[in-house]
This record gives sequence, C-alpha cells and structure tokens, in this order.
Amino acid sequence: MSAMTTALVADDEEAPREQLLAALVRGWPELRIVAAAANGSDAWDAFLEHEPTVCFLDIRMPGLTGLEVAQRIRGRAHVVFVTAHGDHALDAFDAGAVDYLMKPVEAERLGRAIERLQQRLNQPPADLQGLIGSLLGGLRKPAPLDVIQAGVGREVKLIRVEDVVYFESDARYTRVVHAEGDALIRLPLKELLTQLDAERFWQIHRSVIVNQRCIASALRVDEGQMVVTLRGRSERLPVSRHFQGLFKGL
Amino acid sequence: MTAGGPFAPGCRPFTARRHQAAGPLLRLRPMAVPLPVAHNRFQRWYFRWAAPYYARMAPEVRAQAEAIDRLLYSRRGLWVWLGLALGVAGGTAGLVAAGVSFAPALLLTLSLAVCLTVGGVSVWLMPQRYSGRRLWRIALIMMLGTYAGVFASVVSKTWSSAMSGEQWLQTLGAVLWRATPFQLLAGLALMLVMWGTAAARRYALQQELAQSRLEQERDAAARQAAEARLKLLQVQIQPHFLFNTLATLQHWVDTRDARGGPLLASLTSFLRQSVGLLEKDSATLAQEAELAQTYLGIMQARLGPRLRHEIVLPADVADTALPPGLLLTLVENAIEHGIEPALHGGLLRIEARRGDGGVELSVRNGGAPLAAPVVEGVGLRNSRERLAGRHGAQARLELLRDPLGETLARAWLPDPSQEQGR
Repeated sequence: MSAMTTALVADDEEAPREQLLAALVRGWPELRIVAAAANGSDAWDAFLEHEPTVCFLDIRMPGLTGLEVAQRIRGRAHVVFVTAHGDHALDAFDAGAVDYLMKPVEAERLGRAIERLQQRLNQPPADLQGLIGSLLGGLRKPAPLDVIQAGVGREVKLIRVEDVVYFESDARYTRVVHAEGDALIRLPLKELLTQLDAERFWQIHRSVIVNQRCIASALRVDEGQMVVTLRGRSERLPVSRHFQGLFKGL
Repeated sequence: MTAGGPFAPGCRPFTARRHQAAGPLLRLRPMAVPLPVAHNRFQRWYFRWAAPYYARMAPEVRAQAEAIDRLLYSRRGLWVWLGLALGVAGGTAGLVAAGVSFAPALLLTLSLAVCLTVGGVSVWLMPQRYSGRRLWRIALIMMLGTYAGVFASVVSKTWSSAMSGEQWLQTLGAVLWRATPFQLLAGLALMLVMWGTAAARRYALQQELAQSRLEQERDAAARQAAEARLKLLQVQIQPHFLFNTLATLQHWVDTRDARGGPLLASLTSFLRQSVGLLEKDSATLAQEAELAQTYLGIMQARLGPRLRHEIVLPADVADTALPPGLLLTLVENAIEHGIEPALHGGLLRIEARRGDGGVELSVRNGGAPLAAPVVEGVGLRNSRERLAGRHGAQARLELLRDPLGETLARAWLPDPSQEQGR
C-alpha cells in the first residue's frame, strides 16, 4: 500500500538548500520533494499544506528555528535536522538518537540517513518533544509582539495584542479581529505567528490563530471536522485535523 | 592590501630553551640528571653508599652534588686530590717540625682535611643548614675536638716519661693554656668562614630561586596570553560559520556557479586576516573594518538580499587602536542575533566617529529586536574585558535597544593621551 514518500526541505541559505535537494534527488530518486522552504515560518506553513512524510530542517532559521518547527510538527512526520558543525544541539541529538545531517552534506552520510529513514517509514515517527523542549529552554527568544499597527484609511491604529480575538489569513494580508472591530495588516499570518506568544495564541488552522482566552468551546461537527465558538461572538472558526489535539476533552 | 601577515602562528613564547636556562631549580624533571657512570669497584662502592643520601636531596642540591662528584672523578679532579694531599703532607710536616710526633700529626691534619672538605662541600650545597645556633654548635664541637687532639698529643708525649700525676697535670694545663688563644682564634675564624660562605651561598640560591620564579611567572603569563589568543582564534573563526560557508562553496563548485571563485577568495582572505590580526596585541580601526568588510562580504554571498550593510569610517579615526577582533565580534553578534533570525533580514551599519576625547564605534542592526531584558552573551562580556584591559576604566561597551527598535552595540574608545593624563 506504500503511498508515495514526500519530503520538505528547509534551509534559510540558498546554496546549502539546493545542495541538499540535489543530493536527495541523487540518493533517493523515489522521494517526492513537495516543498523547499527558505525560513521556519514557510517550513511550518508548507508542512500544514503538504503534510510530508519526512522533513529535513535546518536548525538555525529565521521565523521559526528548525527545533520550533519540529516541536510544532509534534511527531506527525519523520524529522531529520540539518546543521553545521559546532551546533550545541548535536550532543543532545547523539544522546537521543535523533537523525541529523551535517553541512556540507556528504553523499555517504546522506545515504546512511536515507537507509535509516526507509527502515522506519512504516513506524510512527520518533517522539522528540521532550528533547526539543529541553533544547529550546536554553534559547534566547526575541520579545513577543506587544502592539500591532494597522492602517485604516488615513489613520494608523495601535491594537494591543492582548485585545485581539483572532487573526485570519487573507492572502498576503492578515485580518486582525479585535474587541472593537477589525483591521487588515500587511503581514502574512505565517510571519505574524512567529512573533506571538504561543501559549496565548493558538493556531487552530493553517489560516487562523485565535486568542485562547476568547475560546468558549470546541465542537465536533462530524468525523473529521471541528469548530470553536467564541465568547460573546457569533463566528465559528474551523479547527483543522492537525490542531484538534489541542482540545483533549474530545 | 590585506592586513594579514604570513600564516605563521607566532604564539610560541614558551620554548623549551627557557626551561633549560632556568636550570634544575625549576624542578621540572628531577630524574633528568643521569647518575655518574661507575668505572671501578671503589666508585661503585661509593655510589652504593651515597645513593640513599642523594635520594633524600632536593633535585637542585643533588644535581650540584653529582656535579662535584663528576669533577672529583675526572682528570681535572686529580688536581683537587693533589692539592688535598699536598695540604695534608705540608700540615703534617709543619706539625712534625713543631715537635709533634709523626703519627698524631698525620692523623690530625688528615682529620682536619677531611672535616674541612666535607664541611666546605656541605656548606656549599646546603647553606641553609649553617646558620644561627647550629653554626655555634658545630664550632663548639670542633673546638672540643681540637682540645681532645691537644689532650691526646700531651698524653702520647708524656706516656713514656715518668711523671708524677701532679707534674703531668701541670704540663697539660700549661699546654692547654698556651693553645687556647690559638684555638679560639682558629675556631672563630673557621666559624666566620663557614658563616660567610653559607650566607653568600644562601643569598645566591635565593637569587637563583627568585630568578627562576620570575621566569616561571613570565612563562606562565606568556602561556596565558597565548592560550587567550588561541581561544580568541577559536571564537573568531567559528566552526559554524566555516562549515556553513563551505556548504555554500561546495554547492557552487558542484554546479560550476561563477560565484564560487570569489567566495573562496573572500574566505581565504578572511582567514588570513583573522590569523594575522590575532597575532597582534592591538589593531587599528582601519584593519578591523577591513576584516569586518571581508566577513560581511562572505555573509552577503550566503544570505543574499537579507543582509545589507554600510561602513562609515572617517579618515580621522582610522588609526584608532583597539583589541584585535573586537569589531568582528560585534558584527558577528549582530548577524547571528539580529540579521539571521529576522525573516526579512535587515541593515547592518558600522559607524565610527570622533567624539570629545575618544572615538565612538557602533554596530547597529535593524534585524530581529533584542528581547526586553538584554541578556549579554560571553562574547560581549569578553570584549568588554579586553577593551578595559587595553583602554582602561574609561572604555565602555554597551548593548542597547534604541527607540526605533534597532539593536545597537556601542563602544567608547578613549584617546590614549587622555588615559595617560589621568
């Protein structure tokens, strides 16, 4: 029944990314590469869009680091980290038997990694949550976004992030729905995501991030579908399959 | 032109030569002094007898004792033996001429010669033992010894003659009375000689020790400086940077991309400049800016449009001295924590300008903003210490977030004349 194995490759630098892509094409011709991302936000978005079987993630990437992307993937794909020598995570990877590749990628080592992956494709991916959590604990993170500036006509509105009910993707823009109305900002949702406090703002769909305090309930509509209702508002927001695990009561 | 010197690591100030020059006092290798080779039975016997004493000696004393041994067994040592023999013969002859019979005279001079030789060598080797009360005690024993000698000579002279006990005591008393001033004089003189030798030797040894300590300290300081430089080099040429650059190079070489050649040239130039600069104790701002420029060129090739940079360096600050690699550290930090983590990169701006009594050097980046409580890394702390070490307490290095949300690393380099005036 073997479905086609798909892969996502993410590296913020063009040449190493191209090198890995070329090496994968040579070393694993049956693999179908569904996306090549140039940063962590794109990688995460591409994961939601394509749901690849294997993700090759560079560790140091803007937006979201490779570790953060892996944390969000939550064991729903096989993850292979890609890094250069000298990364502090390498020891932990060795200790935790995590797959990783070193840049510049050598054909022989890539071959071994591919072999290992192929053997484990039928099994559920390794659980990396604990390991990644401990690695992320020591990382410096930029301060989360505090205020959003949105142009409305000739006026620039300053919206406090804590007043936002939800963000919704609108092509290259994002609609910000807050207590006193809504506004459009010129920042794609996937980029905004990285600047928000993940504890407070839950992504429930590829195109929706909701303020967790404003959620009233989650409803299962049918087998695969779920929606959330909001406090004091009539909208219902879709929860895609990936995020239904956030609501554990169901 | 490049600021880099030849690729010759200059950090070898602690050569083996210095250790040797410091002599055995350094106690580095106590076993390095070979035991003298025994040529005959007498020597073997002597070494067997002397070995335990040698084992108990401090290495430096032992080395000298062995040097003396070697001298005494060499051809040159023959003269020493000859001198001793002549001394004994002359002394005996003198005593015989003065009326002492041959056997006691020989015994006396012989024991005196042995005592003087052993005492002399001992004072020479272990001067610290010959001081204060111990010296008095030795002098007393020697005086008593010579009195015993006088006593023995009187006894031997009067043994055959039929003297009454009273007469004999009178003779003894007279002899002792006559001998006492000379005894005292001789004892005092001997003591003075021993005291003087011991004091001089103690002083010399102390000097040597102080000298060797000084050299050790200098060695240690040089070693620390070299280690610091090495560490700096490791920090400066980060493996992460190197391998990532190599990854790009590899791809461009594989695909025959025209950008490969220039990148390789830049990397070579960067490495040469880094190594050359770090060999120095001080660099000029112009050299530092050139190194930063090369580094930024490499990062530019890798990051593409994500990195934009500007360097503003007026001519009147070009010769400002600063710790080597300082600017590069600030630039690397700006790239690693500012530009690289920002989704759309940003502008990195290096600016130096002359202020009142010094030069202000700043590295500003409009990449990812600094987290609210500014957490300083090892690199920044390290740089601040080096800056303080070079420019004194007036030098400053701070990391801040300006009102526009940009990150600013700012160093204040006071003019050297200003420093001296304080």
